Amino acid sequence: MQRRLLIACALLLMLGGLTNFHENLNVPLARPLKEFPQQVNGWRQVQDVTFSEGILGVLRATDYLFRDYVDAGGRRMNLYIGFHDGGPKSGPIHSPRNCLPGSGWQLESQRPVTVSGPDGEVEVVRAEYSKDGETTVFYYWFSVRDRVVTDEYSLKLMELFSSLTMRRKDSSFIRVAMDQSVEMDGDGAAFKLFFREFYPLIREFLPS
Amino acid sequence: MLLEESLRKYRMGMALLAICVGAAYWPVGERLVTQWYIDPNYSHGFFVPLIACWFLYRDWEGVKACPVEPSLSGLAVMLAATVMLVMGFLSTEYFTMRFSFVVMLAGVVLYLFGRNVFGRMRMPILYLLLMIPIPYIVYDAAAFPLKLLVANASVSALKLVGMTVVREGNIIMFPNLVLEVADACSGLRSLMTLVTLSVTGAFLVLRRPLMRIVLVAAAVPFAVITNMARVIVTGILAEKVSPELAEGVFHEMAGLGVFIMALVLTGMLAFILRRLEVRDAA
Repeated sequence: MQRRLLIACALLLMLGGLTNFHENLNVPLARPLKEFPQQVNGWRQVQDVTFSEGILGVLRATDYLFRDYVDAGGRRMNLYIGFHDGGPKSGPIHSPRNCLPGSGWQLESQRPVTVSGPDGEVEVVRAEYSKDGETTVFYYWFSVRDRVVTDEYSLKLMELFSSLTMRRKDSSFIRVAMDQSVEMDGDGAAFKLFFREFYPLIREFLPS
Repeated sequence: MLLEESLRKYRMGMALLAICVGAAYWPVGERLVTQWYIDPNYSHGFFVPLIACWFLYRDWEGVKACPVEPSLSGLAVMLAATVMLVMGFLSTEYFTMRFSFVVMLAGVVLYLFGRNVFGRMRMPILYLLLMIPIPYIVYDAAAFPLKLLVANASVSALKLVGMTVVREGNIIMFPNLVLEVADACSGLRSLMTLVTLSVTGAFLVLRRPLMRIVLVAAAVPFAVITNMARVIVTGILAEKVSPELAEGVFHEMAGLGVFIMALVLTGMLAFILRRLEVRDAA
């Protein structure tokens, strides 16, 4: 019995060492998101939203950006970037798969799509949600260090792995939303153009 | 050796072990208690450990007389709990960390005292699972259709008594008030509280597994009925008295009123099921 007690105590003490003393680092952004350009090659910022205390309390992002951009043709896109620095005070990324249905959005369709970035193809998620009879198209992806991830489970696994090996768990969630009519115009071409301009910029702001 | 003797003989070691469990799970427990405090869906969390202790105390005469036969399988269970805690901790997955605590308790009991003792203590240990908030992705999947059902049925009932209401998704609009049937990301209020209540009632009053299942399953219709009552009463108040009062009452009803109503319903059903059991046994 004594040996068993010792083994159990040793195991639990090791666990206690981890839960009490392992702390992930606060990884800083390369540049604060408020410095994100208001004019990006033909796209012009028309709205910059500051979230209320209540929303920020739930979101628990370290830094965020919530802006509308319009191009010369009047196509309007909403860009959200939420950066979570992975430190002890930062909260987890809220996946749209939980949060949109939770606030009354109905998922219509969801599938991965590939778009071309500066260093080759990138896979992102394309999802359609509707609320009050209007359909919005969302393109989103998660960014962990220099990798793009599209599902919540790989995101968790990567965070787990980096936390164990590098004591960092920083990750970002990037979402581009537009009205269905904007998206229909030219078979998603608007998003492809938007992505080509914005993706390299977003990468510059996030930690590598 | 019986559990009673074993506990007395190794009491220092047991105390040390309890401290080690506390040290390993302290940060997890701290967050859990905070969530009970701020999340109205889980205020009942405070009572779960107390009731679990009481369930154990109620059966203590039997538990302490169980023979101790340590089992190595307990070590495997403890290792599983360790993996869960490490993975959950590193990826900040609260449900996994909290679940790991209950698994660890089960593992420790099995490892030190064996299957007999664990079998006898199984109910209070597993009962602790009710103190853990389930992930919202799972909760919403179940609660969202129920929310719509509540909105739908309430609107029909309000129209039946001749009121002007319009429903859009889970939002109910009166001429002078807009009601949202439970806030975003909060789901159907008190569903988990009702489940906890009915599980407690099932083990307190009922003996037969089938009867217990019936009582626990009844938590879902009870949650729907009580939430409907909340919406309907609020609607009538808004129309006949004043919108401000309705909003005040709406929030009060969400907590206490719904709970008392559900308590009465669960109590009544438990009473009926108990009568059936007794009649069948006779």
